[in-house]
Amino acid sequence: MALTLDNPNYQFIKMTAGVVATFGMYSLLYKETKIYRFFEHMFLGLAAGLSLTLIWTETLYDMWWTPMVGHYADKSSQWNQNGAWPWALMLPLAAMAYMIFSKKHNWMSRIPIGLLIGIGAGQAFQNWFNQYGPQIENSIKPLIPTDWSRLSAPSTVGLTQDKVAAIQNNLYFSQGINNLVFLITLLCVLSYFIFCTEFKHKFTMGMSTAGRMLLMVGFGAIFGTTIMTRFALFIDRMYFVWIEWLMDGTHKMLGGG
Amino acid sequence: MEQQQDNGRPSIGERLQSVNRNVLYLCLFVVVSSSLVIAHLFTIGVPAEPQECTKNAYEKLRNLHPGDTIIIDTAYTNSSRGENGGEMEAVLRMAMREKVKFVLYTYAEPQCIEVAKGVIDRINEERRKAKTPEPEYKEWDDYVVLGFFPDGATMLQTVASNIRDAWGAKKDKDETGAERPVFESPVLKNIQKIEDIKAYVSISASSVMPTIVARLQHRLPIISMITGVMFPEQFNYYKSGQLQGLINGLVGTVEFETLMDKGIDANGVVGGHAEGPPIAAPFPGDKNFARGMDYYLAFCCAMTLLIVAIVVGNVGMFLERRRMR
Repeated sequence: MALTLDNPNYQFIKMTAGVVATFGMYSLLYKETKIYRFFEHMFLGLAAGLSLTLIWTETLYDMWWTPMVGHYADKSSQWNQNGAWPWALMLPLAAMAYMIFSKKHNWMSRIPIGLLIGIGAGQAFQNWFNQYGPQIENSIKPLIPTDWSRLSAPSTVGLTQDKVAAIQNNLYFSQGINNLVFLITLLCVLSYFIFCTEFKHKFTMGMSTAGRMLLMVGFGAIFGTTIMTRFALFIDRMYFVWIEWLMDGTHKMLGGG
Repeated sequence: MEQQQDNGRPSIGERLQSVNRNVLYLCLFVVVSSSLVIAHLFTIGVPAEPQECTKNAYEKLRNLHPGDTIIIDTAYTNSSRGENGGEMEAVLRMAMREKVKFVLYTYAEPQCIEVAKGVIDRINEERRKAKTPEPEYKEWDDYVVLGFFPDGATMLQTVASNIRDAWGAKKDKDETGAERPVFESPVLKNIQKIEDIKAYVSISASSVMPTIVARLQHRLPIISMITGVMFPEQFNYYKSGQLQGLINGLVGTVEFETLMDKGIDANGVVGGHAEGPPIAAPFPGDKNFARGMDYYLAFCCAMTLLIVAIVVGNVGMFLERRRMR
C-alpha cells in the first residue's frame, strides 16, 4: 500500500513523530539538553516556514495578487474580473518599511508605518469608549434595597415572565450588600492608582492599602485560572500520547478501523 | 547547619518543603496518565453544574434555526487544544446537528485555519460513523472558509459598516472545485449586513475580544470561548452585557457538554422535565460528552494533587517553624 495521506500507516508515523516531539519538548523539565534544543529549533523552523507559506496563500494571493492581475473565467466558474493594476503600487509602499534597516534612507520607512499608526489611532478614539464605556456604566450600581420583605431574591423557577421581570427589577438586601462590596473594592483599587498626590490621612492611606490587598486577591484568582489552563494543556498532551496515539492509533494501524 | 537536626540530617519539616521538583513532575505525569486511561476505558463522567454564562451561551446557540448563518472566529492552534479544542468540537457538533451554516476565519494566526479544518474533518468522520449516519457537512454549501486576515481590527471595522466590502475579495471552492466569491455561496448569499448573521462565536487563546466587542457589540450576539487564564478579564465584558455568553476553558467545555446532554427546561432547570417548551433543548442519544469530559477526571485529579502538594509544603513550614522556636 502506498504511503498516501489517507494511509493509516502514514497517520501513525505522523502521530509517532508528534509523540517524540512532545517528550523532546518536555525533556526541558529535567534540564536543557541538546535533545530539547533540537526539537525547539525544529518547531520554530516549521512554524516560521508554515506561516510564510500561509501568508501568501491565505492573504497576499487573495487580497492583493488576484485583484491586481485579475481572475479569468474557466469552465467551472462564471466569475470574471479584470485586473486592477494600481494594486501594484502597494509593493513599493510596503517595501519602504524595510528601509528602516538603511541609515541613509530610513526616513522612507516612516511613510508606511505612519499610515498604519494613523489607521490604528483613528479607530482607537471611537473604540476605546465602545470597549470600556459599558463596563464603566455597569460599575454604577444601586445600594439601597427596594424590597425589604426578604433578605435575598426569590427563586424565579416556574414563574411567569411578568413575575420574573418584577423580581429582577427589585433590589434585595443581599444584592445591596454585594453592590456595596463591589463599590468599596472599586474605590479602594482606584485610590491605589492615584499617584498625583500623597495620601497622609489615615482613612485615605487605609483605602490605598485595602486596594493593594484586594488587587492581590484578584491576582490570586488570575493565578489560579492560569494554573488550571496549564494543567489542561498538559492533560491534552498526555491524552494525545496515551489515547490518540497508543490506544486508538495503534488500533487503527493494526486494521481495527 | 542551623536548620538541620543535631545528627546532621534534615528535619521532617525541611524535607517536606524541599521535595525534588522532578518527583512532583513524575507524580503529575502518573496521576494524569492513569486517570485519562481509566476515564477512557470505563467512560467515567464527573458531574458539573453549569454557570449562568455557559447557560446563556448554550441558550443562544441552541435556539438558532436551520439555515441561519453564524461566524466562527477561530484564534487558537494546537498549543491550546486542551481547552479551545473541546470548545470548537462542541460548537461544530451543535451547528451541524442544527443545520446552521457558518463562516470560518481567523485574524490571530494563519495556522488556526488548518487546525479548525482538521476538527471539521474529524467531526464529519464522526457523523459518518454514527449509529444513524448523518450527512457530511460540506464546504461551500454548509460552511465557507475565509482564511486569514492580517489586520483583524480594520477588517472588523469594515464588516461593521459593510460586510460585502470587507469579504468581497474572498473566495472559496465550490462543489466542483472552482474558486468563487464567497457571497455566491449558500452560506452568505442572503447576507447583506452584519445584523443578518445570527451569532459571532470567538474561540480564542489570545486577547482578541477587545477588538471584537469594540466594533460589533449590540449588532449581533457575541459568544466568547476562551482559555481559563483569560476568564477573569473577559468576565467583565460578560457582566456589562457586551458578551451574551462565555465559556470558561475546560470547565466551561464540560458545562457546555452537560447542557448538550441535559438541556434547560421551561423553568430554567438543567436536566429538568417541566411542561412547556424548553429554554434550550438537549440532544438526547447523540455523542454530547467528548473532549471536555474525557479530560475532566484527569483535571480534577491533577488539581487534587496540587492541593495536596500545597498542604504538604505548608505543613512542612509549620513543623519547621515550631522546631526553630
